[in-house]
Amino acid sequence: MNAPKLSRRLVLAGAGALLSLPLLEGLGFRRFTKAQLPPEFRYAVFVRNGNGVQQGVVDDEPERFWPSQLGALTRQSLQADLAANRTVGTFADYASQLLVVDGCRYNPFLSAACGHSEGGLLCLTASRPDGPNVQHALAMGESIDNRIVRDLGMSGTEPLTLYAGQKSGYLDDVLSYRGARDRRAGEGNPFNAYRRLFGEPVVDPDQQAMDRLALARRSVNDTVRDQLTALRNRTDLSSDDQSRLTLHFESIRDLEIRMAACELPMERYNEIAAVPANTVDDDNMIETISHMQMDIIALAMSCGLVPAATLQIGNGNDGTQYVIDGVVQERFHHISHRINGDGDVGDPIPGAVDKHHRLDLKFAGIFKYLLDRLSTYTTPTGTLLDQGVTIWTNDLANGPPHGNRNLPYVCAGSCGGYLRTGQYVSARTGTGYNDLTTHNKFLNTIGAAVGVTNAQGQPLDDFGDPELQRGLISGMLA
Amino acid sequence: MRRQLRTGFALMSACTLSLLGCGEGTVAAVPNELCTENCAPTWTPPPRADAGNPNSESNVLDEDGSGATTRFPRLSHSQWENTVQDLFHLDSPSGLASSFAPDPNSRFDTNVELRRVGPSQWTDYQTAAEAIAARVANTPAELNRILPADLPTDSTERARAFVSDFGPRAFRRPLTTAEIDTYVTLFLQGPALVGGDALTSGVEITLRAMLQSPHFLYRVEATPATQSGRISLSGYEIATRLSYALWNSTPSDALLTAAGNGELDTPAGVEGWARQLLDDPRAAETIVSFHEQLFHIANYGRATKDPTRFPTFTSDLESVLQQEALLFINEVVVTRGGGIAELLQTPITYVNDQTAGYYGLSGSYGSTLQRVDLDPTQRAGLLTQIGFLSKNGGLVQSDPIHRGVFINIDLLCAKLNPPTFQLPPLPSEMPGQTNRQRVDTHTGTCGKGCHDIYINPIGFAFEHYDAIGQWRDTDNNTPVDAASSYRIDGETLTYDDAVELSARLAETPRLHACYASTWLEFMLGRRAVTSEAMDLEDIAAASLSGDTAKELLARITALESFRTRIQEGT
Repeated sequence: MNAPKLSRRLVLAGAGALLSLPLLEGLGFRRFTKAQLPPEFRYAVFVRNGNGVQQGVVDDEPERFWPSQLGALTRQSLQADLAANRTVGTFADYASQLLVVDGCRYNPFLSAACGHSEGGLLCLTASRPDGPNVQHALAMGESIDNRIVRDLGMSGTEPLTLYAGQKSGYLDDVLSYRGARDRRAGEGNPFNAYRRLFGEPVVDPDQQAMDRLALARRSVNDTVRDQLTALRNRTDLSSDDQSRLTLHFESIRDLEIRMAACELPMERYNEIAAVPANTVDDDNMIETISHMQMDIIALAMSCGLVPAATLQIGNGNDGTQYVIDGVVQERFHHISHRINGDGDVGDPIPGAVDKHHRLDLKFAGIFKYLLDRLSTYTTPTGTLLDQGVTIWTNDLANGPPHGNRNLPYVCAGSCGGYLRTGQYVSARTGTGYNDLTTHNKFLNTIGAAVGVTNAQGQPLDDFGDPELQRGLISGMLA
Repeated sequence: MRRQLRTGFALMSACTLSLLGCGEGTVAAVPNELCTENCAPTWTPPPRADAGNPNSESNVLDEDGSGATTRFPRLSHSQWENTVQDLFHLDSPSGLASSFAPDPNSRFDTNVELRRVGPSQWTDYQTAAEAIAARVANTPAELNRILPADLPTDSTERARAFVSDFGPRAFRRPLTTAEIDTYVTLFLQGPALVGGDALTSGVEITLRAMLQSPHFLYRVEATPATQSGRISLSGYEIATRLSYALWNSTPSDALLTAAGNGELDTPAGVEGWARQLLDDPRAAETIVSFHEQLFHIANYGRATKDPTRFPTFTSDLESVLQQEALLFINEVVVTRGGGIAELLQTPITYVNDQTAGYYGLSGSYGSTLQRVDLDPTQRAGLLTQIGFLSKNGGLVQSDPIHRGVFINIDLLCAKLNPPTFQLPPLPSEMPGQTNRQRVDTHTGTCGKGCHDIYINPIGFAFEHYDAIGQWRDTDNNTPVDAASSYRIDGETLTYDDAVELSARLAETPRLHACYASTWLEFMLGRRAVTSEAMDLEDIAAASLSGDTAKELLARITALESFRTRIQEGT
């Protein structure tokens, strides 16, 4: 991808309108330019697949995910791992920026029901479900992306919540929570996401019209704010309604301005715009859509728009029929169970273990695309990739039995030197299941790396359910 | 009838599902290593205040819920689209809502709790408001549709006339004097803020502001509480509930006028207006939409089938099977005035060349779906159509478990708890062994309490239908046995197959109690609670006695549940 264009144009989000700098400064609006991206800006991006990875923890399946040895990761060691059919070897080019974390599990708040439901709602929240882990279960706490933005983001922003793939009505969006029982839906259409964030390109800006639009918007916003304030001032509202109106109030932004660095090259924009809306969730588009969403994430981070983003690939029990070597495969969920069924009834799928591994490689390749994009943006201290941390995970650990023993965590980027990179570290304290570290500590470490603190102003160490043991994973720290 | 329906509300014992996969649309069981490795605690329902309630194991009613909901239910995206179309008298939808940020999924899209306005939604609303305001204000034909007659020539009075006329339609209630003044001021700033002549620019900036107002985006129920318990809604608030429940859109001018005249202050008044609204085609759309969501029709045709066994069952059937079901529902419920009993028992459907053969029909049907009569000994209604059966069918075999679970949970409101431990998958079929025998044998040793009593007896009735819903007399070269019996509310339903099961179900009060409760959930955007049991019994009784779905809706609107709001914390 070409480097972003630089100019002194300012783009109004939503309408794609332009404003002059003097007017904007007179109105007191903040603005970003690529060059002005603060060196202390930190971010976390989470890319999630479902159905677990093919690893050798149970059922005598071969180990084909993790690096072969704990300790230092080098290009050579990862190339050797890839040659040995280990998925993480895909990232050999990023060996020095990689942090692979072994030995995490979920806390078993409830017994099993639907592992997908449990995994999805726990993945970024580390919070207990609000009931049995079935289709409609929700997390009782916010997700880490929300916490990061709540603590570090600009007022009126939320985590960038993106999606690729079909939504079937069963466990669709699983990752991002504003708070207890308040789940966000991911935007599955990159064109909508792009326009919402960056507006549409403007070829011949009409300065007078732009000035007028800014003033008109502010007039309307003032009216809306007054009305919301009047409603919020009522003393007979429930706390939920108060928070509902507060979210709305704080979402109103008088103006969002971006330097023109915050736009994709026109060629790429046109590709995104050209995708018919009714095809964005087609199975055969999931890789293309993932790449487009990643372009948007990388661009958003390069402009310092928001310090956290998620990309969910596939729904809760991803049933996408992916293509391997030009052949459409069985539904991924079926492959992950090794049978032609959703875990109960079905004949064995020949070569299912191999197919799951091949799909892991495909997902690793998709994640690597994001690393490539983030590396395209340079900063005074290196690349954008190292200014934050980008995580590839899965809300389940394995295929059968869809458990959470050794959740996959592949991190890239040191987050400004906070994280130890070029390493494959273990968070285990022993060899048993209970010796695995509950994954809230992983989330604590990521939050702390980005700059989130606890109530005492110390690095975040208490994210998630209060019953969980506090702390960070020391092996991840530089 | 009331006694009988009381029985209908006293539901079966809760049980535990065991042999369900994590498939779409099911309660699911997936093996989890925790119980073998960590012995996690099992899920224990929270203590209930009404532990002695005879309905305490029912799922017809939400026993833990209070029924209190937000006072600010945000318009769903379809409601926004419909509202804008009706508000501006547009010939077709604007299409603007199609790019709105998605909302989290829920059982029905009318759920009021999940929809909020965050930064993404705010941006979308701003963009859409600006777009539609500019379009209408600058399209003379469309502008004329929303301008009041005899506009004054004085600019301020003209602004006041427009705001006073359009504002109540946008906010679904009269505007306060302060609100009128605010918008008049904004209207008069039109030339400076928007550009152009005073009238069009004034209209445009006013529309922009009104369409971004919380009083437009939310169906605000602001009536203050006067005492604990239920809070009576204002006539305008009832008009809004009525219109969105039946039309999925904004109230008509006539309905708002009626609200202002006090015509909605009595149950009879509300019901009378409901009947008028139900005669409008918009109500038919709502009725079909309810059933579309209830039966998960959006997923018909999306199940994967073995291409060797079923080479013609391809992805292009998705729209055909969904359309077939929607046409069937429209004919049975809207055109013929049926209800849930007729949906289960009317042996007709719509087929084309792609699907006629699945029903054993010969001849040429072309590509357009045509109504056909089906063999009443093989087909009864929606549950015996290809869409439902193939969705709840396996890759190569029938799937009695998922068929049984759907009917138990979605049509009979049975409480089936999720499984608690890992269970092995079904074994492969033995030579000469039917799928029923395989499932029966396997579930006899695990999950017996749920499967033998609730899931299998229902699911086995469908064993005459293969994985895609084609009729079969043999399975694995062995005659199909679809006979079974199902005990419900103290009665035993006995049947030879799905056709008979459909007839037995149609007679059982439980089906109608669940149907009534589900309609209430759809119309109010929340589940029915225990305090509403008596009211729902009457609706269920009407359903059982053969009242049309429209009749049920009209009666629901007269209920206290519909005309009032439950105060938070009660």
